[in-house]
Amino acid sequence: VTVAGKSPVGNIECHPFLPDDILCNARAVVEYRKTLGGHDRGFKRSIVALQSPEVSEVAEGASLLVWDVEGALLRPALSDIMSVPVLPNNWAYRPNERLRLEARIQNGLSVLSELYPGIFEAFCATVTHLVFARCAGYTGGSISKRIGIIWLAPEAHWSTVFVAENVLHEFLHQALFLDEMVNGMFIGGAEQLNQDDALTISAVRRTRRGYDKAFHSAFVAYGLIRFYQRAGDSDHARDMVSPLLVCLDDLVDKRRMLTPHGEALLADLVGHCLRTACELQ
Amino acid sequence: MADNASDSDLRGAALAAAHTSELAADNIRRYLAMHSTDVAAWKMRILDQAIAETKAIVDKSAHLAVTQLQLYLENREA
Repeated sequence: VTVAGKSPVGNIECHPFLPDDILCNARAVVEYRKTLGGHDRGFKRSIVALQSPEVSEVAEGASLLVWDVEGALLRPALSDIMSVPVLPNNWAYRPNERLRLEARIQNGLSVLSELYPGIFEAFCATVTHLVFARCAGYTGGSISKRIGIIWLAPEAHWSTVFVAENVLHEFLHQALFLDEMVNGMFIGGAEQLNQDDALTISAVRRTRRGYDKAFHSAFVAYGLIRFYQRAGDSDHARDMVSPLLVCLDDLVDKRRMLTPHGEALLADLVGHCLRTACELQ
Repeated sequence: MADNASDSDLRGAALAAAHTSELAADNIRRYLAMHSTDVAAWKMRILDQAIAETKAIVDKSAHLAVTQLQLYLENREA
């Protein structure tokens, strides 16, 4: 797979998406896990032990691609991520669909590793499972209580670049969860973050959402803008800039919801976004 | 003298590292407790036409947002 016109920079420059940020946060989780006793484990075994202890199969190194959630005991995790008590009837892909999609997913991962080798290395070191399950109207998701597990709902019409975009999208959420876990970003929990005066315009959905959701949306939108710039699709990147700036303005306005670390991240992002907006003008 | 200074640097660095790791452990504990019940799920919805139609309004607001954001960074640096 070739990606035309990619820029020479191989990272999404802002914190906490630098590979060192992600790996450093992963190390902090391993150190924390060691304080609870037991033997020295890698990040994946540590995070699964802390958040998804029922999951049976974990491999340090490459992420596991899971099409059969029963075998890996991932049904509860998938229900959590989909936010449904019971999985939809047709969640599982048929063998012939799976065969076609597997090649597309591998190509998408290759695009990601080609565009962002450092981020891809961090992805392999921290994403335990990529779980594939269909759910009408959604492309995938992540959840704060299941760090390491990414759900994707690929369709036959997804291009290789769209696969890469969606994998990256979910991984950026993972990097934010991990940074929040280790360094703390928000003042208070869901109750405060979802109060009416904390609702903030999302950079992706463009509706008012809880402060943490909008905060994530801004970082993910910036990551995807850089992704599309790097993949040579500046028009797509440009379309995403205005909603991101509006979202950032609202996030800055309500920055009382952030810890000092959270605000430092936001200010860093604002600087990067203003520069990127100029580049794309 | 040089050895003393370097010992003290190392002690300082070790204390700082211990403090950082304590802080991280506190944050991790808090996160695990909070997110076991207070769960935030990010499901990526397929975007619809209604979102595309807001483009003109959003573009207009973005101009104002740039000025505000520049001001925010200037004030932060001052």
